[in-house]
Amino acid sequence: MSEKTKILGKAGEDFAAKFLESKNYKIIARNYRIKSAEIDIIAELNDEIIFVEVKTRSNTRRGLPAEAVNLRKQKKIIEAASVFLQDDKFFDRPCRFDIIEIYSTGKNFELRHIENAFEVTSDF
Amino acid sequence: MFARTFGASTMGVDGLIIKVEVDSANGMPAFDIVGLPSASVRESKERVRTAIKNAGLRSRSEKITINLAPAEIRKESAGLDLPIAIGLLAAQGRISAEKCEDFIFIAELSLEGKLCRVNGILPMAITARDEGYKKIVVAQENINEALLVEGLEVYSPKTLLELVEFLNDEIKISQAQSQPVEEPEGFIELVDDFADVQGQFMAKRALEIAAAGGHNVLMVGVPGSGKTMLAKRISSILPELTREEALEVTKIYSVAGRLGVNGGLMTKRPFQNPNHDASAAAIIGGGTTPRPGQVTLAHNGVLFLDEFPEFKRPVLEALREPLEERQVTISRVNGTLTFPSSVILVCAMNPCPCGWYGDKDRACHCSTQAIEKYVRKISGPLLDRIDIHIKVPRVKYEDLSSKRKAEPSEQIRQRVSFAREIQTKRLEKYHLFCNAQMNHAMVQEFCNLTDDAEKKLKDVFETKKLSARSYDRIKKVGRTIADLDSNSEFITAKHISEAVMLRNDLDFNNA
Repeated sequence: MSEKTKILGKAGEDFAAKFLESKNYKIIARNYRIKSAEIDIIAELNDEIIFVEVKTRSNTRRGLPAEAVNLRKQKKIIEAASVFLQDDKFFDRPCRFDIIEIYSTGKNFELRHIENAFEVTSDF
Repeated sequence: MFARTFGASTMGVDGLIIKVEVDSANGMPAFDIVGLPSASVRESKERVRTAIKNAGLRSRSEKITINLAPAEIRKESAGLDLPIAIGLLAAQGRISAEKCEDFIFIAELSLEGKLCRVNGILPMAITARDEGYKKIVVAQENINEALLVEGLEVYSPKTLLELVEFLNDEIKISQAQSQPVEEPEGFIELVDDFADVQGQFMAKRALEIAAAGGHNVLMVGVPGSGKTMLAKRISSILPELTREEALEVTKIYSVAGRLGVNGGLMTKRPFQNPNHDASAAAIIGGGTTPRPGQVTLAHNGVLFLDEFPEFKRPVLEALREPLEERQVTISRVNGTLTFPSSVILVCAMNPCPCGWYGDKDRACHCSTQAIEKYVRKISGPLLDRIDIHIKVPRVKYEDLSSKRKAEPSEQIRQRVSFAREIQTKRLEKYHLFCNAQMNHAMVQEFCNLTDDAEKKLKDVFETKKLSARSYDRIKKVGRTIADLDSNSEFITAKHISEAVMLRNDLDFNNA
């Protein structure tokens, strides 16, 4: 990953976090990491835990950002989420998986929030 | 939360009530269907979710587990969409879970939330009633079928939303009324009538006897003599279906998906004429989950096999069991099913490959071996199961050009129905309705021969070296002829002679 994309990705995640806070979400964790996977943002709203994957793109030559969250990526997020939910504090709470797409147009960001973007399937 | 609803599926030609248990709980969002769903049931997950959304309802994204019981039977019906959707909404508290348990739900869901028709409603509804359910919800195109079952309240909301509002007592839906079946405009139904068949009096008489007693027929004749024409007209002289028979036929057609939109009770006897290329599975039924074949689709009607020797040998031999038992049992990985197959088998064939063997006026140019090979395709045991063998000769010019109309089917049918009534009354305690269904014991009981007849039959038996089965069959055909002959209690020598003549094993096959 080039330095440039890293910076773009970080900027996108910051923007997404701000957006969520503006919608009254409480950010619990950012860049939550287990050995093999990472969740960009973990937030909380009305007792529900939301796992958010942020994807930022400067152009759509290689498809929409959300399309990049394929089954493999989803599986990793789900893995990390199940570790996170082991914690007593979060046990048996409703939860969901969201994707936030961010299009960067030079200095501005455009954002699209997909709630309930995917779920656990037994097809893995 | 947990909820339970009831749906239905089919097993062979019978319905099966499926208990749909839905649990929706906190945890990682998932949607799992367990309990041996087939691909179409597994896919219902997407239909259900989209339909709920597009109906303007919301289902929460929770850990949803759906169990279809009994677990060991594979569920095929797409009609499980509706009980799954209702169960899901009930589990999430959108509908009173208690109220849902009074109903059987059977419908597929479209993505926009409409209820769509499914196959096999009639057997499912019958099972539902027999197991004590009172109310059933089906799609509009299935109303006519569901209404055939007496003692069930049928409801048919157009959409999922309507159904949910109904279950929540927000709106009222009255019980469904039967739907008019749309006839295409200017549609004139062509009816095959025996009045169109000139000449062939022998053949017609034989078919009349076959229809009256439910006997199997083999017609042998030169090309163009009218075998096919005769066979197609048999349905026109068969007695009307009784309600019980009609229900059986409708059940089969319902399961096979051949009833069509707004299909109701089948009132005509089925007539199936599979092409001679058909496989054994197509004729007697088959598939990973066994589906009815032609012999079952012809139940209570006629199975016509044109160009009999052209059928593959295994196909013909596979017919032995259904002809004898009047039902066919098919075993596959997914289970063993029994389908009814009470048919009148009508076969037509040429006497040899070129077709002219035995004709008075035209020479046959097949070698003896060729004729033998042709005829050998039909085995003795199979031939033995066919009560009536007739020759259909070339039609004479005088008959063909005659302006005189032959006897119309309706007249023949009256005689046939009369003979059937006698038989039905006689066989009432065995729940049978025609002579061909009698077993050996019944033949002994009901086929009383006069002394003359007895002597005649003994003669024939000795000279022709008949098999025990042939003996029974001749008596049965004799019984039918006697029944047609204005209710005579005993089978006379005249009747037996005609029966023997009709069983005149063709000279090329001394079986």
